[in-house]
Amino acid sequence: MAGGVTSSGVVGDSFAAVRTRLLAPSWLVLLFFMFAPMVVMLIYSFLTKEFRGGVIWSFSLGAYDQFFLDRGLFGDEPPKIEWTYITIFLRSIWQALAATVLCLLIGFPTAYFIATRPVSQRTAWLFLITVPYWVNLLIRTVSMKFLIRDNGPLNEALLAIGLIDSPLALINTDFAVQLGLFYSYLPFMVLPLYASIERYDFTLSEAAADLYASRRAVLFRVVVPSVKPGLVAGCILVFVPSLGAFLAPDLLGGAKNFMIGSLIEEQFKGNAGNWPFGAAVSMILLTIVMLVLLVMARSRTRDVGSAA
Amino acid sequence: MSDVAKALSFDQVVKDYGATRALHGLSFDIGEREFFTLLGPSGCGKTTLLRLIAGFESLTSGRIALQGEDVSTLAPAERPVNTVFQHYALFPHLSVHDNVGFGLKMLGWDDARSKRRVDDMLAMVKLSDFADRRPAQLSGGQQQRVALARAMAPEPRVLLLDEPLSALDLKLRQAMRSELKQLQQASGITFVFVTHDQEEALAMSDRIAVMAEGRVQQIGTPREIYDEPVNAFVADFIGQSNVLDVVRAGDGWSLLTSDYVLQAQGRPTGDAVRLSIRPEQLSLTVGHQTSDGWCGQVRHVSYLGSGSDIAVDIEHGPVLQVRLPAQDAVAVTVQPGDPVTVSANPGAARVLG
Ligand SMILES: Nc1ncnc2c1ncn2[C@@H]1O[C@H](COP(=O)(O)OP(=O)(O)OP(=O)(O)O)[C@@H](O)[C@H]1O
Ligand SMILES: [Mg+2]
Repeated sequence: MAGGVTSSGVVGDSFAAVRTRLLAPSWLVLLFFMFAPMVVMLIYSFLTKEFRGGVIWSFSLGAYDQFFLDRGLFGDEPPKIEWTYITIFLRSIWQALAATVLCLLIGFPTAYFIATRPVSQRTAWLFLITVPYWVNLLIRTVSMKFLIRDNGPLNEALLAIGLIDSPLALINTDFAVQLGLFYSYLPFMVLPLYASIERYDFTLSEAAADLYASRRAVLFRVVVPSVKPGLVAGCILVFVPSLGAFLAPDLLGGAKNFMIGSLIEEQFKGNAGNWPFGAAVSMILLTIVMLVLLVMARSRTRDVGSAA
Repeated sequence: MSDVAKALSFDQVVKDYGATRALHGLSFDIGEREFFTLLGPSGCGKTTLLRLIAGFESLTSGRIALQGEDVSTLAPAERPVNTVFQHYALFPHLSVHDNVGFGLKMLGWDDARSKRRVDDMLAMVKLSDFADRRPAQLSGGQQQRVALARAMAPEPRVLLLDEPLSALDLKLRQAMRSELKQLQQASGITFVFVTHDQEEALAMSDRIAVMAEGRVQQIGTPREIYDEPVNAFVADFIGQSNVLDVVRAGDGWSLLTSDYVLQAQGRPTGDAVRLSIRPEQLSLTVGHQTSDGWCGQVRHVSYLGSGSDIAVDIEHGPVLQVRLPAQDAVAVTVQPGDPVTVSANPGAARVLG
């Protein structure tokens, strides 16, 4: 019906115009929820701090100065490199990397297991993976704290069966933080890996075995390269939030095992806060994350580019 | 066949999937350097047998020996057998060169030797210029040849091919038939080839095993299978065949409802047997002559280019398929409903076991 089409006005618009209009809601969401807060952050990081929280609207490099340079207790000594915050960053990166590797080591076999179940069972297994995440992260982290504290069930059980003589000091250690991060983000590794492995053509494994590959070789030379997109996605989804996590380090790590997330959180909480400094730390964290993503994206496009 | 000349022997091979039995105790041998085809309709167990040879499935009972040596319990990587998969299963992240070299690398060949072998293989399948491409950048026919080169590179004793041509279009399929056959003869590797296309099987094979419902129906050369089918299934599956229930009449055989007596080849057991007659070995005359053949009406005529297929409803009897050459005078003129008489050429009828 030609009349219907012309009267609707669709024919008159170019494809590009239609596309712009259809994309508009997404752009608005991105602008409002991502771009705007980031700009606010960026601006705040260059403002002067107001005691009791808040900012004074005058330009200052103070926040970045505080992060990188040590000018002594009264700020009158020649600047040296400030290691306090860099150390926190390095520890956070290390913790996030460790969590990513741990999630990968546990998540890959899990995802592989689920993807190789009969189709009718897979949904049930995936459901089981996600069940704990129906409970608030705070509650789960607190529960973890109760489980591993000195007189918690884990230590009590180990004592009872005589495996240890005195309670293991688990709480307030790097190990506890690691456990918390691993536990918080494991599904973010399992789900994208599952999606990739589920699409993997298992005759490729048969072909490799037929061509004299050992089980190890089948895994590392064929399966892993084939599911690389899911693997990269899973690593990003675990690494990035782990890097900025504050619940696990706060509740399980104690004061010694401070991470970036807690550092930032502290700047915006209560009267002790320093907003420009918190904003500056966030911007530095964001820069690191962007660099990591960029490197990952580079490796992705290289793969895709040569395969296309 | 002497023991030395056996590439593969199957001894009471049984395979169950849960409660269903896919293979019912197969026993036969495949000779060295043979182009051996497993032919049968969908679901008859061809792929299952191939996967048992490759080691992807384990036997329920029985034994498979490769050149006299029992391989029944070996893992796929321990069997000097390679497979060309139906959908090729090329490694998407590796170049054509690395795909072909994969088996050699796993076998620990050194780089120089492996490179020479891969180059030879790519030259053999005429893909030397494509060595650096990824599989996704190749046409179906090219991928098929990469799969072939990859499977032949490690010099397997036996090459298994599961419907390797089924994903190609007709023209390419026909070209690949002769190419495959030449490769097999030049390499001297035993080929076990799976297909459900009888024309393909007849054109390429040294010997064919016709399978149905997990059992081997007949093994023989293409000519034996075509000319001397042992039962109604083989007669009908290979080419087309008219199968008739007949009784002894004087020195020959006739339908109960007809006076027409014909001679048949083969060894009849008893006074009532089944005969098989190929459609191209039947003739048609217009009108009814009861003593010269079976009388009936033309049911329908299909023109095939190279000839015509005519179905004839025999009075008080079966429907017979007749194939006439395109220029045959009767073929040009008959119409559905016309009265005709069908007669068998001398030597056309065979007694089925
Ligand atoms: N993994 C399996 N689980 C259960 N039954 C199976 C399995 N694989 C095959 N079968 C059954 O075994 C029988 C033989 O199957 P097979 O795949 O060998 O047939 P085929 O001759 O290769 O058929 P096609 O020409 O369709 O490929 C079929 O009845 C099939 O349903
Ligand atoms: Mg099959």
